Amino acid sequence: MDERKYTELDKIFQSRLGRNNQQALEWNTPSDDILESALDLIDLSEERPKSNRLVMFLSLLVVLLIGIASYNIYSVKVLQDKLGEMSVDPMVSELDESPVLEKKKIVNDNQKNDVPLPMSSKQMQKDVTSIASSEKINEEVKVNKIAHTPVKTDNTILSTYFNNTSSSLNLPAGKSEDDEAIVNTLPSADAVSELMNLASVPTIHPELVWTEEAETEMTLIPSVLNTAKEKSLNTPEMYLRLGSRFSSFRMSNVDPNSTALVNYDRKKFGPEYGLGLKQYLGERFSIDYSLSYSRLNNESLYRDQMIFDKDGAVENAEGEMVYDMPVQAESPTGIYATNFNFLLDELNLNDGSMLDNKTNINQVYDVISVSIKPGFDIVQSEKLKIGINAGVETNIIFGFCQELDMKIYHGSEMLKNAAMEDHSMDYLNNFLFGVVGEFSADYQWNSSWSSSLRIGSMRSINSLRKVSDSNSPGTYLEDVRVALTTGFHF
Amino acid sequence: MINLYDSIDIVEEKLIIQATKGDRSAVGKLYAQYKVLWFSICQRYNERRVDAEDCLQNSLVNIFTKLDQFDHKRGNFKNWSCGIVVNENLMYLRKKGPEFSTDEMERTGGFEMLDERESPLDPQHLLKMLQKLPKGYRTVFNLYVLEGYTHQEISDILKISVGASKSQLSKARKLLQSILEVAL
Repeated sequence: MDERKYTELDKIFQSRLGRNNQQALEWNTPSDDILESALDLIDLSEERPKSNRLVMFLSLLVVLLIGIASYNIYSVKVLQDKLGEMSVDPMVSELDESPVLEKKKIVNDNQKNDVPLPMSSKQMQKDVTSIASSEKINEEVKVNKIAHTPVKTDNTILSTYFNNTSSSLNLPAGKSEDDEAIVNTLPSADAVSELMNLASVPTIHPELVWTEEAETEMTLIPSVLNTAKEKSLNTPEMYLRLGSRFSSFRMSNVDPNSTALVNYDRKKFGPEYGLGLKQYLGERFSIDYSLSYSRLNNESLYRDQMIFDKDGAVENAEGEMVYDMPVQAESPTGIYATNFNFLLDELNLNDGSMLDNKTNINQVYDVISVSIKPGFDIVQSEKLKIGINAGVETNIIFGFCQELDMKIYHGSEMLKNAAMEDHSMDYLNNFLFGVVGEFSADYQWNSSWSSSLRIGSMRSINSLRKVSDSNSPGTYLEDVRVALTTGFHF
Repeated sequence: MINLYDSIDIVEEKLIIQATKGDRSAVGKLYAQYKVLWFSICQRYNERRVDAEDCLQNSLVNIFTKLDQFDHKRGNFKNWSCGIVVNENLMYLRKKGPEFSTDEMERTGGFEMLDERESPLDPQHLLKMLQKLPKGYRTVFNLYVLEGYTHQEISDILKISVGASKSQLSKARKLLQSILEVAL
């Protein structure tokens, strides 16, 4: 048990300096200015409608991004639904349900994962009629169709198909009525392969086979190919971003001849997390929207020297000789100045002694970035895409912390130490607008998933510091960023 | 019937409610009522007046921004606000200098001669004596003798051992005793 045991001495202090002896302390009245300063500080901290506006702005951005994403999803879905409706012909669907008839697809052995071409029922019908109207179609196929049995071979159908479409595709026509001959005289292996990649062979209905003219309709085949391309281009990619930013500031507010700022650490990095949406607008052109959070760090080491002038000491209200030493430190966001007061007796220095000011300033910025970057694929292969993106970015600074540690040395002896922690953003611009560029290497794992490595850089076009005059024109944010993304096509 | 103390509490409660709503005159009245007490606490922990004023200012910001958290049922305003002032002083000391260490060097010969017109037991003189103590001694003496904390509580607050707290208190007492003996 820790019992309090007070001595006589303790009781003397308690009776004279304790909380219950207020009247005895009346001689020690603080100035009313202190209350005024405190109330000013309270007013400043209460003036935070900016943060509300910031939250509203951020919410708006998030809603906007979700809207864009939803619109893209919706448009793709509408397209797919339309295609679905058109392709599901009542008669075809009836056949689909038939236990006898099988639906077959042509699958390229090399690209089994490729998305099959959705074909409209009209196009299917045309394709089928073209096959049916051909005089070169063999009897076996006809019999199969009439009997509602599966088509014998896909190649047979395709061979017939190409034989009839040769005029529109400028392919050499088949020369024989013989089925095998037709297969053997397929005009171009590449062309077949291309179609095989893109197209699925529809289920053939006997009534459709012999009802329409074929030859004139075959010119529609290229539009089938276009539909396939459009579909893949319209598929947006949502991606998650995880990376790092190496940030730095261009400090035009600091005198270029200043040797005091001995080190400004540009190697500091901060994490970056985000998400984005990539949408292809053409074969190679795309647009990239992204929203990310990052934490920027930097450290400034400031070293300066001052000469001690004993004559500068003045007597304070308590009759002590006090030496006021004005000191300052430069950082990316400004020059911080303060006065150190030394009791002359404590200093014990000779006039003209050299004093060293060693100041470290650490700053942390919490930033949300929103960017829109049009992009172009320089290299496009089956799995790999290498491209560039360039666009604009808004960086919203919503959090700031600065730690300033100032030490005054005489030789190796530390005379004074002052520390300050500051969260005020009053002198900072909340919004930094910039231009951003990025190289990306994108690897497609399959039709749904991809990963990419992105290396980029950003330069702000407006100053970080709110107040800028001719002597301190501004401070501009720059960064180099590296990020890995995981994308999902939907 | 309302006695004098109750009426003081009622007035104070009204002032607090008004101050919570942002009434500056109410804030001014509360300040006028407690400024001497709050400032004396700040001066007990800080050697220099300028530091004490800084602490008082920070304390005022804290008191008046947290005023809506004050609950009459849990205690009186005086103790609640003094607690904030003490905490603010401890934070200020922590920020300003190195951590409290058990081997803080004793200052020797740093005490001024007394003004013969002053009684050694005047509050003003006792405050000066306290201010001249090394920071660690002064803080532990303040917390134990004048705020009423136990050594265990002090060790938790200052992150030092109970033994160190006792030792610093003992050394502080010795120093103060020796000065007082000379003065008397």
